[in-house]
Amino acid sequence: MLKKSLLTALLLLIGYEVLMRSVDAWWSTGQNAPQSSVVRAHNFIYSPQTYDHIMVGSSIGNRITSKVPADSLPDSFYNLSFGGQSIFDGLLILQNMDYKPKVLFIEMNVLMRNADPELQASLFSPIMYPVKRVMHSWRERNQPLGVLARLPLAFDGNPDLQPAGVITGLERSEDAYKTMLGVQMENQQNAYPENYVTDQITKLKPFVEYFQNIGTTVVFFEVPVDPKICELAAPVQLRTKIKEAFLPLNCKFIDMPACDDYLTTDGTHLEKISVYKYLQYFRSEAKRQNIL
Amino acid sequence: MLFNSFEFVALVLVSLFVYYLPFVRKVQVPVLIAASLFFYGYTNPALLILFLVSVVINVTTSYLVVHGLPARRRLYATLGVVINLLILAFFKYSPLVGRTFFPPGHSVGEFLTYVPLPIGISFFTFEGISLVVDAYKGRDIPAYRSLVAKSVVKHTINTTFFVAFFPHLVAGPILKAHDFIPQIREKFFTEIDWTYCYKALVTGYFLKMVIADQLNHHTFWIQYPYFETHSSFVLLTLLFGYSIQIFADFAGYSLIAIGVAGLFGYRLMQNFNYPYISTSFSEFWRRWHISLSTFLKEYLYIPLGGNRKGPYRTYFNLMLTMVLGGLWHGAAWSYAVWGTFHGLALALERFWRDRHPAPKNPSLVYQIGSGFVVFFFVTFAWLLFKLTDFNHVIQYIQAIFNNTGMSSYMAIVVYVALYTFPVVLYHFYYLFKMQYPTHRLSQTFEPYLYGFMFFMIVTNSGIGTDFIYFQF
Repeated sequence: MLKKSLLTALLLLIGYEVLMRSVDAWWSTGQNAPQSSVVRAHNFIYSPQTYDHIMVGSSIGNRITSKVPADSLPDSFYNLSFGGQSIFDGLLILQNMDYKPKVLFIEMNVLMRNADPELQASLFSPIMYPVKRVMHSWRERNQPLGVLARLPLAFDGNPDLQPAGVITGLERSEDAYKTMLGVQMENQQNAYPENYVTDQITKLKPFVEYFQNIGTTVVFFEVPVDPKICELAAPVQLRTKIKEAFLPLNCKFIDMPACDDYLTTDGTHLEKISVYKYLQYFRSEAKRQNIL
Repeated sequence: MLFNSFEFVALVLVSLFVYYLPFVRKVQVPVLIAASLFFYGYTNPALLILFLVSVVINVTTSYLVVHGLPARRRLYATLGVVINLLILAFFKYSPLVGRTFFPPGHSVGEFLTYVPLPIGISFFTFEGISLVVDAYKGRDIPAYRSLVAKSVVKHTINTTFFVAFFPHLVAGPILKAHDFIPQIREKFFTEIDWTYCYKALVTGYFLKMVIADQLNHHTFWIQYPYFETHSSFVLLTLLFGYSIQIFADFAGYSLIAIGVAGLFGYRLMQNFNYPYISTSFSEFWRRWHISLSTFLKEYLYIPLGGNRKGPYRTYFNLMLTMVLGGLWHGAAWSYAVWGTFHGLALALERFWRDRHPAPKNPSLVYQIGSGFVVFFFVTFAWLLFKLTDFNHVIQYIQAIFNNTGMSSYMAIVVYVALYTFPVVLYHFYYLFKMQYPTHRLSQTFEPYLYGFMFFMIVTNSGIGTDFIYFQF
């Protein structure tokens, strides 16, 4: 029983490793938000390619490329923004890898969330980090059920290799949008306690200085949110405090465009149609400031 | 330290190596006690203080019950039980008392609200109670008297080991002194039942890491306010997914505990016996968290009078046992409501059965129908576990009725279906084995099945999360 069982497992592992090395399962991504973060991080960590422009952020920044084909930003861009996570997660990944980007874009929307130590521990585990570097079949992206569940997408062709399609219509359900907008408005109508914000800025400063010291240009950007949230106390406070703290450090800023022109799915995450619009703004603003 | 962490695997391997060294054989139990204390105090050594205080109380009271002055045995037993319950009540229910009975900002309320909940307290205090009660009940029976050794040193070592043995320490199965202590003796490497341990470990890790950890990130959407954004169909799918997740999480944990304990030569009781095939609520409780339900039966329901004092007292005893069982799970009123729900279901079922006995040879349709009804209600009741704010439970149920027109996010449905399917199969496979116990198919098929599960553990595990029952 034991021998047969262990041999079966071994053969399956070898067979699947061979399969994953010979087939690029591009259609497979994370099966849920945290796993998508791991996949996105793995794609960066294990990539032979280097990227000059790195974006770090939360799910708000994550939307900037995750919902549109990869040609939305230049190939030199990699977005280390993770759903449910913070800017600190992306910064820690770069620091752990001793990565030296030319330009680092830091999202301003979600400053108050801290790094997830478990994400870092899992990405850079002394055992699994080297194992996953060698064994493609052990990476989250290649999980058998994930590959299987999204297999139908394979028949439509890889969208990253196709020109961006025209987006029409909204993704959101109006009822769900209204509910979530209400919750977000309630959460953000009051400013955070001053000392909390100061603490977060104190945590962020060493990162900014670290990257500036290795020659990276640090740029802050704020993604537009729902017009009803845009000028509430919490986002205004963060905007003001971040500028106060980092303008003197010669950081650049891509200011948030007028929120009235943008639509969101739930108050804070851009609708696909607005992602395109914001990307156009982002690129033109970056060019104007000679960042790109 | 999580069972699915490398630290835990390393602890087990190192302990196993040392444990079976020939010159260590005489001190095998102290080796496991040391490993267990390391396991428990690994992330927060301060936890060891309360744990050791609890052990001292149980050692002292159980020893005095058996070897103390006969006239005071009842007093010692009562003291042991009451102190265990007070420890449990203080650490577990202070926040609930603080929130419920004191206005916000009140200093006593604030203090109570922030009393920390030491991990595993519900389990090790119950095991302490089991020791004291077993010692008292069997104080004059030689077999039971052996639970409490005459030598204080030996009794201290045995009791500490019984409560601390790391596979069961933080989330059970809840051991009973009369099941475990008689197993304490020298163990030999050659006595390990490898197939038994392998099957338990592979099934346990598969249920936890492949099923529960994957489902966990989908059932996340059950939380407020996110459930408001999903269609009725998705909300029902999520509820089904959570029902399977909580089973896979806890049954998985229990099987890992059983497998690891087996490596050290100890048999822990089966904690789950395919509960979702149950065709009645009483059967469900004979199959779900068996170590808790048998504990409640032996140490609460039967002492209350069980079914010996007439039908109405029986209904009351069932209700009370389940309400307290619900509250054992956590310091929130939703757990009491959950317990009340199950108590009511058991009492009503008993009431009905007293008047309409179940058919001796029920038809397949009857069995499937009653199985479905039990699963449906049990699954709905899990909502009280996931959403501990009762208002959110009501809102969730309202959303099921209101969100019929919303479009469904099919990715969630697909993943929940994919990850619940193996558990459904797991139950059907059990039914098949019950029907055809000597069928060649199961014997031929099993090694490959376990090999496949092993492969899936390596390649398809979800992101590790705490076990759901750690919070209890």
